Amino acid sequence: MQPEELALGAPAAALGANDWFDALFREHYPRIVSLLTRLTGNRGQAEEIAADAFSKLARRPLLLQNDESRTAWVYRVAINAGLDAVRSNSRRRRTEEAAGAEQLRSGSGPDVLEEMLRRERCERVRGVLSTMKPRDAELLLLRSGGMAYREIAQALGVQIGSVGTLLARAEREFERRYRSRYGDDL
Amino acid sequence: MTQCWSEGELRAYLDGELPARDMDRLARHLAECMGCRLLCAKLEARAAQLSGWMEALEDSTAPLRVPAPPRRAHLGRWTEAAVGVAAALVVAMLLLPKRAPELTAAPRPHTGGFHSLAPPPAAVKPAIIRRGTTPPPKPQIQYYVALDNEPIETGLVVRVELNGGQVPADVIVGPDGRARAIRLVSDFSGEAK
Repeated sequence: MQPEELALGAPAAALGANDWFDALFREHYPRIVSLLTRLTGNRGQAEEIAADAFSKLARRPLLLQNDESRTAWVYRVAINAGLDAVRSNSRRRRTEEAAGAEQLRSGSGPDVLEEMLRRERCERVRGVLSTMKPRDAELLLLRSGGMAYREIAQALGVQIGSVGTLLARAEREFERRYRSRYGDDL
Repeated sequence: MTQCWSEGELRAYLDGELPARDMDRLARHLAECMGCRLLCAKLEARAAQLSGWMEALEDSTAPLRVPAPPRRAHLGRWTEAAVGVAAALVVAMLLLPKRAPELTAAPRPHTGGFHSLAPPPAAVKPAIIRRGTTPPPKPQIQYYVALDNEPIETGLVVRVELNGGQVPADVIVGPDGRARAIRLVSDFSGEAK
């Protein structure tokens, strides 16, 4: 274990039984909300899902005996709920975006076109993520959010040495699914 | 030539996530191995493409204000005490044997050397004496607790021991090997707690 890992792990281990939950919440709630916001495109919904995941954890602390399993558990519950939300949002989002695209068409200029393309790209990426295994989708979101391998390993509940392998595999799978849906139209 | 590195190690190398010693060793290997160089270039191109796709999802909303953590269910001291006393009373009522009212013996009729013609006193109806046995507890159904939000279609129930073998539990393992749900059990006979 690296010295920096020891330094990071020590405070959590020293916490009392009543403090671990608050520490976990303060450290990971903002990250989970950010991850879910990028996944769902809706900050309010992301906050709701994250709070719900932590509430579930608060109701069943005895099932999870250590910080590593609790962290991985709350990320997994949150990402699963986020992927569910993306799937259920997709129809409503299409309707809204059709209306939005109509509004944009009535405007003009390069900004309007750029915004339409950005929305289209978001919709495609979210659509592909929602068809992937939750752990692969989570891994891609965590990495694209700038998290280091050590933090990703903690969130996924895996060894740090396997993050590279899992990441390479998830990227290959995303590319395959994206191209099978949209061809080489990037 | 040195030994080739795995795809995962090459991917970690691209992110600068290998230990410093391995970064140097892998860089030297790349200088002499065309196969690893090609694989590395392929991984790098894919990572750059992914990065471009995922950039579309940037969270550009306002900074997050972290709320207070949700509170765990906690009863006040007096409430806990009241609940404890009530529970103790209920247990005591169930466990203590119920006594039948004591039967007082009817006074013997005074015979006085002659047989009374008066009818004998009505026989006392025997009370039903309840023994101090409590009915066997109804088996409680211990439901599984889902470990994630995905629906469980198929799975294998595996008996495991938690907390150093002191807490037996049943775990439903999905086809992908992930634990999907768990329930605690009272003993190893398979009967739910």
